[in-house]
Amino acid sequence: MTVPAWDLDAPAETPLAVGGGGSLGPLLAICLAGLGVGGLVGSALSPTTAPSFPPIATLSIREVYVDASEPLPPTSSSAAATNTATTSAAATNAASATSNPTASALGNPTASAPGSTVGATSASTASPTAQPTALKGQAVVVLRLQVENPAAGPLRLTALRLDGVTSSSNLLPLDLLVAGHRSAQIDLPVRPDCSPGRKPAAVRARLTSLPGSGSDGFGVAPSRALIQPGGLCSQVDSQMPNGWRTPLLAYDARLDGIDLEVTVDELSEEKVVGLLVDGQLQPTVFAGEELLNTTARLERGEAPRLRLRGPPPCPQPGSSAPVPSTLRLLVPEDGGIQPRLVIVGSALTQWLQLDCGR
Amino acid sequence: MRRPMVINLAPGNNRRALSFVLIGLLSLTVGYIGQGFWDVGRPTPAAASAIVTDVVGGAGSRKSVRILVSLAITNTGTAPVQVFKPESRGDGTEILALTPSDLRVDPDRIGRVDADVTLDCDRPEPLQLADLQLQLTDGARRPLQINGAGMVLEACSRASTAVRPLAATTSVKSSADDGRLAVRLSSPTGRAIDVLAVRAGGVDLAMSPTTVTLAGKSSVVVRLTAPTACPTQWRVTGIPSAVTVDLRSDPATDLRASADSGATVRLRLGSGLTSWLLDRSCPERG
Repeated sequence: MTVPAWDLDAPAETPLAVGGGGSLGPLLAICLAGLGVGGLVGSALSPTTAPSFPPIATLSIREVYVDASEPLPPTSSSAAATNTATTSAAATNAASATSNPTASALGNPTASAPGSTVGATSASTASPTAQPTALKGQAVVVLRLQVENPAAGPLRLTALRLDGVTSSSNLLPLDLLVAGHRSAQIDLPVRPDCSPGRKPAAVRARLTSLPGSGSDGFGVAPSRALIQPGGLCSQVDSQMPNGWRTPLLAYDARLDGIDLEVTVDELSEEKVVGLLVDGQLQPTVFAGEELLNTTARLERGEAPRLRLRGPPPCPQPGSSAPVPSTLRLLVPEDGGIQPRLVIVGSALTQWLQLDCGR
Repeated sequence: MRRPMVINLAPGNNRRALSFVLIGLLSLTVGYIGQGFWDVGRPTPAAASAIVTDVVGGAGSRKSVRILVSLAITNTGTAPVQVFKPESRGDGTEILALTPSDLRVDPDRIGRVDADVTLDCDRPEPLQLADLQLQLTDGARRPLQINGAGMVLEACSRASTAVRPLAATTSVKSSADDGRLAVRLSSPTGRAIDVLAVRAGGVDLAMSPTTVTLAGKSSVVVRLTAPTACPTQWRVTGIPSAVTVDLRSDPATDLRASADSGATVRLRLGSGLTSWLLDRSCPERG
């Protein structure tokens, strides 16, 4: 092997020299290493940044009721109500509140305000010829939105997006100002789609706020009732009497001594299910959960008259439940026996109250 | 062929080595301070909040009631967080356990946890839940305030009469003169309470005076005005025998948002209310 000879007279190469003049490479390397190590040490030793507390909101059910002010469309079967549900227009007007909970934030901006126009009339006051006897029951759920703003600055909310109330998403405009370190509440009436063909869905909600208002938007935490698999309609079903989707309106209701006589135009004598005792029909009639002592007078060509025998049962003494204004009859329908809800009105409530004060 | 490079380690270069060490130390210092100044390498701060969504239980005759409080925890940060039960008692409350005991909430998610809570309903001061513990990714724990804790008063409204936040009696006689229903409200525990709204079957009843503050055990008479027509809300559900009241425990001295939130309690007024509403709003004209 031949080893090349070194030329000992030639000038040496520029050394990598520790501190050799001319090259900035080593200097730069030391600076970068120092910066990196310093940053790492700083990151490891500096205290953790305190968490921030963004605004948060919850949605719950405040009230549930049935709006039975519209007649059932003639094409609809009485057994299958078609609730074309929309978000209540009132909700869009309703959302004007400030962070002052004593004033408008807690004021109900819906149809429940005193003096607002309401559609119900007592059955006995209605004109029999003008009143349809089969009605379309539409569920109305009043949702309560509560917003908490833990931050120091104010928060202005502009809209609430709701999923699971109807088959499509609903956007409710809001104008809700929540001051720093304060909370605000607003009530929003919605009409869920409870038509029989609709798949139940849990409710989801998201708020949007003005840009620069501390948050662009955030999810709302619904209460347990709203995230049940059955959705809003299962809540309505559990709180409303059976048959609320297609109630009947009593043709007439009047007190007769301690009895109440109710005329139900829709039911023919063939349709009322009950017991015959001594040749007299004993229809199965419930007011709330009370089975009433009832007889029926059925004459061909005339509307059936139910006579609710007094003294009436005082409904659930000590209970805070409302006193019924509806009856439930059992009628044959769809090859079986189905409950039909009959709206009687205040005459029934008065009759049920007859014996309560004694 | 050129002579290979030879590193010069002559003693005269010690000064240069020292200068490199100094430059290294200077860079280290700049790196340390710069990291703190520009937040280089520091994780985005966690962003989480908690709120009461449901209050279950409370019925019974004991002064200290056991309830289940459902909480929602939102995480709008970029790192997961974990939630643990408080280390101490709250004001008149104690969270005994959380289910699950260590809830993990991923970013942009809402987590749910149930708290087993005891309440001293007879306490005259506002009830306040203690802060949860929020554990960050580095293991540090920070307090997490529970918003909407005023709702726990709803549980006390189902307890025995003596410890309820609000009590009411009606007088049919006093309502006869001007058509309004006189309701005498009191706070059995003496806890300061603001009454914000009164509803019957979902319908607001106008109050006079419009806002009522109860302090101590003295009572206040409120006159309620019935709707002028029978509301559609009552058509299927029936005529109410109870009212629901929005109330708020005195928040004046506390800037925490949760102290500002209220509760909704139900007060049974019985046939006096039903008869009055039938008479004023839904008269039978047969």
